[in-house]
Amino acid sequence: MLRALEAELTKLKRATLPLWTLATVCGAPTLSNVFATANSGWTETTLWSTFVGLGPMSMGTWYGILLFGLITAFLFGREYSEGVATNVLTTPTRREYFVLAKFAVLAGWVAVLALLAVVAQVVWASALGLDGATWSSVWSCLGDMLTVALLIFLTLPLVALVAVMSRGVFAPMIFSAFGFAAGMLGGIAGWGDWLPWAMPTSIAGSFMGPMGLASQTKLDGGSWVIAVGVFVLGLAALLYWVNHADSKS
Amino acid sequence: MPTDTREVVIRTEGLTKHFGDVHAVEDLNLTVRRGEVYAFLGRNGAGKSTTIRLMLALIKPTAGSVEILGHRMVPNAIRALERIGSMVEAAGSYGNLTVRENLELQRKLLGLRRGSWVDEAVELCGLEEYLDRRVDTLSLGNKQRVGFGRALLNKPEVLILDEPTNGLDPVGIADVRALIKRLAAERNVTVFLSSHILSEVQQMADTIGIIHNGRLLEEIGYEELRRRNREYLELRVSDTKRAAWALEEKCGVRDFVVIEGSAVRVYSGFDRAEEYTRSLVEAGVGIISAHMSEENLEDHFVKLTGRGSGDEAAETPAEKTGGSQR
Repeated sequence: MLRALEAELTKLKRATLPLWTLATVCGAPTLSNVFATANSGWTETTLWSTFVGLGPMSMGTWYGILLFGLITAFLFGREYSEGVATNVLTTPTRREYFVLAKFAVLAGWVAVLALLAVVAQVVWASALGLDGATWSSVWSCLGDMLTVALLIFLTLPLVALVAVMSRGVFAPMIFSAFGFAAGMLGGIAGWGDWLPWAMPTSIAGSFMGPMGLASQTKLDGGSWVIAVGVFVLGLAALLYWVNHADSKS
Repeated sequence: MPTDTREVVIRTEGLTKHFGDVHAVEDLNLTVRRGEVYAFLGRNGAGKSTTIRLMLALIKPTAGSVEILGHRMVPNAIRALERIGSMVEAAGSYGNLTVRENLELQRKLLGLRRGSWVDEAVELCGLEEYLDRRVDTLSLGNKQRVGFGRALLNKPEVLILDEPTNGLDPVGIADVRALIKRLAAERNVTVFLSSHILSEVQQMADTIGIIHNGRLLEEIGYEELRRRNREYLELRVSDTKRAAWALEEKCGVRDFVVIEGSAVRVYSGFDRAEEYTRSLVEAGVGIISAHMSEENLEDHFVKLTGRGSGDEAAETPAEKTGGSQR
């Protein structure tokens, strides 16, 4: 397992995707700016804490599903598209170790990006010279960002499954785009308490609730059971597939 | 013919793979012995790559089994894979990594300790000058060398190679050929390789298996192949048994074969052709035709695979050997 993990980390050397994902989260606060500017009459009253609170909303509503889907597609589909899969699968390592190592890397990558997204949001809020900076809003942003990232992460085994089934990166990206659309539509339709892709959108709406900009949706225990259930089932299906399906480059 | 006592390291029994209605491999029975270079010949789509994928447990057989180094590949592939090196079709590498990094990555996956493994593979494949270059900047041929190097990292007992000379220039092809022969001769590595390049195969294989439409049509030993490549005088006769007797008893010819029911092929003493025909006539054998000819692997391959389905080709009458053999 450790050697599979070490190999996964080595593969990222000189890869450009980590830099692009970094640039995306660092540039994401501009979405908050756009959002604030689009709401005329609100811009003048925007507080530092409000701006920071928009960070998790941006991730949950806009870029999170697509960005993390892209990373998943890269990690799980790259070996097929580059013709390396057969080399990997003919090494004397259990295939589930490869899957788990990739998920460990994916989890780490998502967590780092979530933390950087908080930092970026705080830096941008400060750079804009907004008033009302408080530590409590930073902690609140951190908690919300990690919650959104976790909810999206729980849907990623299905993206990975599409990547290995389709043996490439294109289909999982299309799947992520559908997930993004489902999240948007499900959020609007109020399905956020049961549709995993709509959960990040819905709780992102809750972040805006106190501002009167969106309805507030809280996820109860049942919602979390569904989200975790999707993760477990997706991972089980993925492990079954890599162990039992025919493998081709 | 003496029995080959070398250990069997690859054995397939009734190996079959269907993809829906497509019968990619059908009832394949192969035996590859230790230290042997076994070339698996077939046209595109004949079932070579599918067989190799089955051997490496990349795909599961519909029926039958593969056993390598005493391990059944389903479900015990990992035990065997520790002792197998392989290169399947296009030898893909991580383009963003250097040659050294790609080999190190493979070393880690193989669970090998740091040491001379990589250096030795690099030297064997002539990759020294490319070690610190990113793989995506290499030519196709050099990428193939990297794939080859990766296959050799664990000092395999069995090397399974799918079209190993694809994309290589003539020098590269010669290098690979020399390397394969060297590995088999010096390290007793068993090499199973697929190819559709007949001239290549002829120069390095101990045994050749010909597959067509998923069926193994024939396995030919190297000595048999050499014999096929020789010039011969073919005499189509009315009675092959009597012709064989006449050649042996009257002319003292030992180096000939009988093609069952139709002809005899004489492999030496062509300057005595007139004497042969006269002796046959005197023995009451009718001569239908006499001509010089040479059969090579290509002729043989086309004869076998060019007759439509594998079933038809498999029905080609087997040649029976008479006289002495080399």
